[in-house]
Amino acid sequence: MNITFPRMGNSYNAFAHFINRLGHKAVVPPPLSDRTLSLGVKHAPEFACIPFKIILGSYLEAIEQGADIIITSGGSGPCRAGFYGILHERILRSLGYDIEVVVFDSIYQRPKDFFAKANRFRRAAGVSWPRFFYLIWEAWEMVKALDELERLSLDVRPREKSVGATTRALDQAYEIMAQAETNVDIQAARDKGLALLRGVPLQNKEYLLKIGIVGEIYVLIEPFANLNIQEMLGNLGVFCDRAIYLSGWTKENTVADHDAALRRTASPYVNQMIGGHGLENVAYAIRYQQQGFDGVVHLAPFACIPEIVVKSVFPRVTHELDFPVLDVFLDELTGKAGLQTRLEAFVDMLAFKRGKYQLGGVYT
Amino acid sequence: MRVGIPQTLTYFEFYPLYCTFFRELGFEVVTSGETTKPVMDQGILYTVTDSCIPIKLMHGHVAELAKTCDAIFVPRFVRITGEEFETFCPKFLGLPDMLNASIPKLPLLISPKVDLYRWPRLGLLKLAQAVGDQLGKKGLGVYRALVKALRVQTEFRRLVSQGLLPPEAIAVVNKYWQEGDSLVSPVEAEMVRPEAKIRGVEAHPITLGVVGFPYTLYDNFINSSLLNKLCSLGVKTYTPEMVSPAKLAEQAKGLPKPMFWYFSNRVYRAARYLLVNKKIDGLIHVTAFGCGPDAMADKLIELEAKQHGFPFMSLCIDEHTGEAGLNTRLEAFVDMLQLRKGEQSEHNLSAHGQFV
Repeated sequence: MNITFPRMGNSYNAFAHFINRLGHKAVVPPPLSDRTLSLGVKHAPEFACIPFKIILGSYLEAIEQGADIIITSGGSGPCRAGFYGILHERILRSLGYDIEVVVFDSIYQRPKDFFAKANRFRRAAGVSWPRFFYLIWEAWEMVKALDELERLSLDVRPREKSVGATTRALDQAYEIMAQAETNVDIQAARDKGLALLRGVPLQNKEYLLKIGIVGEIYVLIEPFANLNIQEMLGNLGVFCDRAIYLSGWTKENTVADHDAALRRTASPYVNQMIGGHGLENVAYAIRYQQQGFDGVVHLAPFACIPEIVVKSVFPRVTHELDFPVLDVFLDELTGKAGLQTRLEAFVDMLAFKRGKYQLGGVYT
Repeated sequence: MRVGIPQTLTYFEFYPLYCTFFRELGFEVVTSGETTKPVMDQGILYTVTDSCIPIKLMHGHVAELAKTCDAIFVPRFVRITGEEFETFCPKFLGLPDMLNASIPKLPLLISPKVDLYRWPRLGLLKLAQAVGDQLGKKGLGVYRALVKALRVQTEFRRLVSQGLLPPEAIAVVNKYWQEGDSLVSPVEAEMVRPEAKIRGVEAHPITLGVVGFPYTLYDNFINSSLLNKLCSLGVKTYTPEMVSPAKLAEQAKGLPKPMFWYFSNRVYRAARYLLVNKKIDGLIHVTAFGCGPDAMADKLIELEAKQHGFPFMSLCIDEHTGEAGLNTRLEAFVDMLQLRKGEQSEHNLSAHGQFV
């Protein structure tokens, strides 16, 4: 089976690793480009959110490279992402591609369905269940290692001596990771990558500001969708902390009753699970305020339903907590200058608020 | 005390219930009236730009009511069916929060959480209790009001199932409240009203399925009187409210798993029912600008129409108030259908998405 999957951030390394180790052939969707987006926009509904369009375009490119089956995740709503798989399949079929989309819904909600689908791939590959679970665990280790690398890069980039050094080191680290075979290799690649990033020459300075990034998971994680906002902020000398990682770093490293705590934090502003990461994002923003961050950038795809609710309540959060939030709604435009200007202005204002900036453009 | 009920979103589905309940509790009930340009402009003022048009209208209606009312009833709709994952759109779920954050000087917002998935009857009782508590009403009176409200609601549903459009059925209910008539007798009288009669007549050249949310189909301002226009073009229309719930439920098999949104499921299933049973000559899907669930439902319905070989038009309604564009599209669509139908034997006009 030639299997492909949605491309999101650096996670494709781990998915490809899992599929290849299982004995199938992973067709990694080509790096996302303007062509991907154009293909997606052409065939997707006009008001579908941007991740839907990007993923559709990326499926089409993967099909060109020989993929014949697509694996993706499902969901139970009310965010539209839970319905992507079904609609993607119908659209691809209406375009004449004989392709199957296998949607994995939550293992807790539909365990039977989940295992039936998993079994299909396991049997075709001829591996035992223990081996299958071992490989899942191994891929998960890789997801965690990749996220660890990315997190360190956010810390290093604002202090780097020459612009771009961190990004180069990170790319190199990903390449090393892609070569890894076993779990031992993964851990070694992780250590090597971390050492590479730590070896980036630094200027002896502190971060200018600390900004939290919250928002819809896909545009948060995929640099192509968010115009590489992490790098833009890093180059401005800003340390940014991202609220959501695929490995759920935030979840594992905070209090035990994580979900309940988030609900409590958000309840004065949003008192109901609204799907996606809507409620969580309000809570993350409040948490960043409590941790002494200077501001929050809120990323969302154009017409994203839960994030529009979040965007509507953020002005109240800003007023009541005196905490600046910049809403960035991402659409099919790929020009970076607009976002760059907005970020620079936002950073200037935050620095001004902190007394770190004087008129005339001098940072102190 | 005066309780305001916005005349949009769930108004077209549950107004008789709301109205009766609050009246029985001894409150004065007012609605925000039909949508007008100032109402829409206010809504646009209070919402974020990328919000969908129905939510903008809702904000406008609530702002309108805020001027005159002591309390506004905006329930937080979560689940009202037995489907675990059939909730409402996230914007319905977060509606009270959005209103609270956006509109200054709001009066008391009565926004109980409506989640009737597990225990529908008990849930209703608790809901009535919660609303009663918030308004300082206690005891049996609340339950009595609920029972009466449910009875009027059932009566309203019956009127709708007989072919009255929801606004017409609501008019009957209002008349009942004003003149103290019984709810049953005016029904038959209403049935022979001219508009209702036109829809009942068989000899229409064209029959169209017009599917969409109740708050887009029956709000004559926002859709520029779409249904009346079709009526004057001699078109007989079927809307999702005219398909019985049992028939709708049957159509759930069209999807491997249902969509997550109550109204969208109904729209999709109604469309599928009309297509499968070939009751129509063509299908119009009325979508709202910026509506998330519609983006998915519209494509599904389009593919469904294509598969069944029916002409399909997607009509997106937005903040524009010019009617010429809409008129032209409707007339052209109806003309094409007539041509297509007139030369059924050897017609050369293709259905949606096919080349001749």
